[in-house]
Amino acid sequence: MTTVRICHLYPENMNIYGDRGNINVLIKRLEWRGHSATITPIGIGEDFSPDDFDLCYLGGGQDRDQNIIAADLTKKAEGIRSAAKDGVAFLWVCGGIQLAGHGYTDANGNNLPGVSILDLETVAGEERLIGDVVLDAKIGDNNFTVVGYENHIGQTNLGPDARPLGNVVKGFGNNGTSGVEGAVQQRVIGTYLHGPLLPKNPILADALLTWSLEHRSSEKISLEPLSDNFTEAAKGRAIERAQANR
Amino acid sequence: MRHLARFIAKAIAFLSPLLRQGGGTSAPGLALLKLDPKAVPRMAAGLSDGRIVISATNGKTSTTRILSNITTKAQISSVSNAAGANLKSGIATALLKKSSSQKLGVFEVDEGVLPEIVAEIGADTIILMNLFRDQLDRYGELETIRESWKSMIDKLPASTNLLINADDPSLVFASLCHPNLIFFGLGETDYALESIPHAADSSQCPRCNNQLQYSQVTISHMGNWQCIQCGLSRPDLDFEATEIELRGVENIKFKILSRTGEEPIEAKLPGLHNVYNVLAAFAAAKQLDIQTETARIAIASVNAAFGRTETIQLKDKKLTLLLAKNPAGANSNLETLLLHPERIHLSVLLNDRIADGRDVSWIWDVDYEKIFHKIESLHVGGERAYDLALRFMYGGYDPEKITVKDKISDLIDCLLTETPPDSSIFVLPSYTAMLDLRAELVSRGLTHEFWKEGL
Ligand SMILES: [Zn+2]
Repeated sequence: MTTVRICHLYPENMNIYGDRGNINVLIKRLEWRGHSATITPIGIGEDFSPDDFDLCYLGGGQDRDQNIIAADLTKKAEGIRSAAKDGVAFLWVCGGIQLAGHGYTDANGNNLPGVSILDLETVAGEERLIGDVVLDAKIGDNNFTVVGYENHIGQTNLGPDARPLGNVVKGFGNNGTSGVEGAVQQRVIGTYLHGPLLPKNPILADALLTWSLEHRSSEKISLEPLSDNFTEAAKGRAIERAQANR
Repeated sequence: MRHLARFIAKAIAFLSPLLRQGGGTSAPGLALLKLDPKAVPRMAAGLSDGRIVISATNGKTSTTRILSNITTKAQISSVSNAAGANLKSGIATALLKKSSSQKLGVFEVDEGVLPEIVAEIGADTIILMNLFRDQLDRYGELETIRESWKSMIDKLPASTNLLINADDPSLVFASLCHPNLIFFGLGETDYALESIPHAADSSQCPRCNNQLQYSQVTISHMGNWQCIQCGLSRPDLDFEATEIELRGVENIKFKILSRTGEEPIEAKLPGLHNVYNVLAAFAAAKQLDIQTETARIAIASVNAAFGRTETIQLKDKKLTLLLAKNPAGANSNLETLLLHPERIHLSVLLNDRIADGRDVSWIWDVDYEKIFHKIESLHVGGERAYDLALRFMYGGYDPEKITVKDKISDLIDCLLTETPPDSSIFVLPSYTAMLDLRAELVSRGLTHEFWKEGL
């Protein structure tokens, strides 16, 4: 049995899109395999220590909250970069993907600096990109379908060091034109997809858990598959909804 | 041309209930506005006794209904829009049906269009109840609404009566510059929450962003709050609800403390959220100089608006609908269910149509875990039934005990056959899921159409 140490960054501020659901999925999928998790909320003014965690989560917030935390995040940036370099798993969603990059320039030209754990830049667009999304995703040798919901005004462009999480089958993706969504670099995953993301995409959850268990135990881990009565049906319906172009 | 426009719209008003177009609550107004975009200000000008608008994320339909009941009891002839028809088209429809003797308007208004409606009808009394997270995809972000309300208030004539829920910090901050303010809120109560719930949108000071301190939390981020950094705090209450007693899903009893004294109140509506609704309606009635006794009798006689807290007898079973369209509303209903003395047969229904909000991520912010220990059986339904099943499964509810029925007719059959005789079944539906459920019950002859219900 291994205890995965999960850091939930700014849960008070960045939690608008059911982010708690992603955390629940990580905990339960560990527990169902005889492992466990500790969740450490880290908020404004609190220190982030890179050696304390195996997985780091950051969710989405309203503009006002994102501005508030961005200023604080720069103080944690060095620790966060060092954790990423050391192989800690990251899932940064929605506002999170923007702050994982080099920065976010809003409609007024103000720049919020990011922590540069993903090679990407984000600039505010003209219109919000909103709707159901389906991706052909790839992590390592694993190809799978990802479903979710996006709602963002930021348009993100990847640099050479980040590869996309997946190709867009339905939806807008990072910027509505590049045909790709999200970013992966080392063990850092950034994505606009919420809903929340992990309940209907357990393959992604398990990829993150595998990385974090490996980080914790320094061994090669292969998680046994789990099945339930609801995930496939929920995912199937999500694909149908997205295809219906509603 | 104007007369022709009204004639056509009235013809649609007459026909649309027959065509089953949502009971004709919006279609005639929509047609009228197409033909005559200036129709609303002109028709509203006839409301010489007052033009009251009520807006909120939650509770605007109920509050409008309560206030309309009070004005009727006080023999003030008033016009009001039908439940849920709270965009401009719904208000235009109501005005179109107005008789010449109706000189008072009481309208519920959607949060997003409030500034426009206030300006168009020349509202002289505005009641602002609360702002919670709701329909993330429709308006983008809550902050936009807060800002639009604030700039609306900044432009109001000084004479406008502004009735503000003092327990919601952002509403207080938005209204502080206005000279004509009436504050209502809850006094100390045993039904307060232990802490700010997860779904609370903002417990930060609207002025300086510092974390607010609460001596009491009632619903979401509402309660008795103060900021120790900048000194902003809940203002003194002009109308305060005290000695609150919540009697399960049945009714509420409390006192209203104001300058004129202390008045006992009872209503056949459940939960703390309805204490706010009744309090707001009572405060508005006092602005209209309605006798306290008249208001009290009217409040005691109000039934919840359809689907909000409606009990329908289904053969030997009792089905209670508690509308749950966002986390704050759903959490309030869960608190109410916790007061029910027995274990409950629970059904949660979720659709994701435009009126519900396409984005259903909010179900993960609802504290369903709080009532797991009280659930005797669980049925989930609606177009997003499987998302609900995942929500309960990852919340720790035994997946083997979750029944999924995404077709409403199957769900009703299942509820009726799989629960024991004389069961009380509680349904928490999203907005269109509630309409679907009612439509199915109507088609089975088990209840009435909502537009046949008088306000
Ligand atoms: Zn302050």
